[in-house]
Amino acid sequence: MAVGLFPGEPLIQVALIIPVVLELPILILVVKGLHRIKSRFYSAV
Amino acid sequence: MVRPLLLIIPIIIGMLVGYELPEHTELFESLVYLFLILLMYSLMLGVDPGQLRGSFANVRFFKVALLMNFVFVPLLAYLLASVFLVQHPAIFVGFILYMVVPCTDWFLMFTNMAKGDVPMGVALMPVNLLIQIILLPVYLYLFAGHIAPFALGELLETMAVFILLPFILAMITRKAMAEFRSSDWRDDALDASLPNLQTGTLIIIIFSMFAGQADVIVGNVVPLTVLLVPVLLFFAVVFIASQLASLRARLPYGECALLTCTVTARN
Repeated sequence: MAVGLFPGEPLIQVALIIPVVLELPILILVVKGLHRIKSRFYSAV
Repeated sequence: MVRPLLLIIPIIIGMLVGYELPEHTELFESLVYLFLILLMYSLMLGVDPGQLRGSFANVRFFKVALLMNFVFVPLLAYLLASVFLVQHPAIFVGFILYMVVPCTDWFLMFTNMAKGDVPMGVALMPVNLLIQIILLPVYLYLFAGHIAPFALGELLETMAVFILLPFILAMITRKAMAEFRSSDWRDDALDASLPNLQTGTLIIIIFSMFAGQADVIVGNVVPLTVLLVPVLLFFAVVFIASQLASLRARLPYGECALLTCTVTARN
């Protein structure tokens, strides 16, 4: 939503968009990491 | 569990398609919104309203989640931007604004994939949304010197489209399915069909998202490289901090997974 607040600032818009691209593969890794944590530390729960 | 490759392929195809068809950016962005609503609907279909009532009463989890999302993360974002992005004022502002606003939609899908507490995530969504809308003008002023009004219209629209609409539709569907045959039949049918529906929807969202942003990504390699280190550090630190906060608050695994996803997924 913040992208719309800076119509004349393309670099700010880019900086608001690019992390989304990096976030997705990271979220996939996060899910994998959480599965590992679950089996390692929460398996008795 | 969704295989990572299944989510990486639409990134690559989306980038290629978006690069070849830059004139269709708006179409791809519309698809993202449409399928995000469908994703929210399918996730809420699996939520029993009874579980939801209990979730709102979990003060301990809400305290930890709000503290992480609205105190720890903004401070971390500001710290990283101050260290890595001072030479690039515009990127500095964009980075902070991106990081300080927690995601109010697809973090729920990743919580689901991680076997986290989805009903609690549904309860957390409107709270996250309300606080971020209130705090966004504050962040804008503090970090960008930019005065923006409180976006009440934005709040109501997002709340209605991404939370209320899919929630009401999901509850109507659940009730109709139970009345059509039985609650057990509904639960079995949903268990059998929802994972495929959610995975398919997520794949379309990822494809459309990357297709809609391909020209921005390809045309801005320098900002991408400048952002790479602080963004990766941000995600690494919030992941570790979420685990430590979960340990300290003695959160069960479902809440730990939800906390990690809500703190990691940004707007």
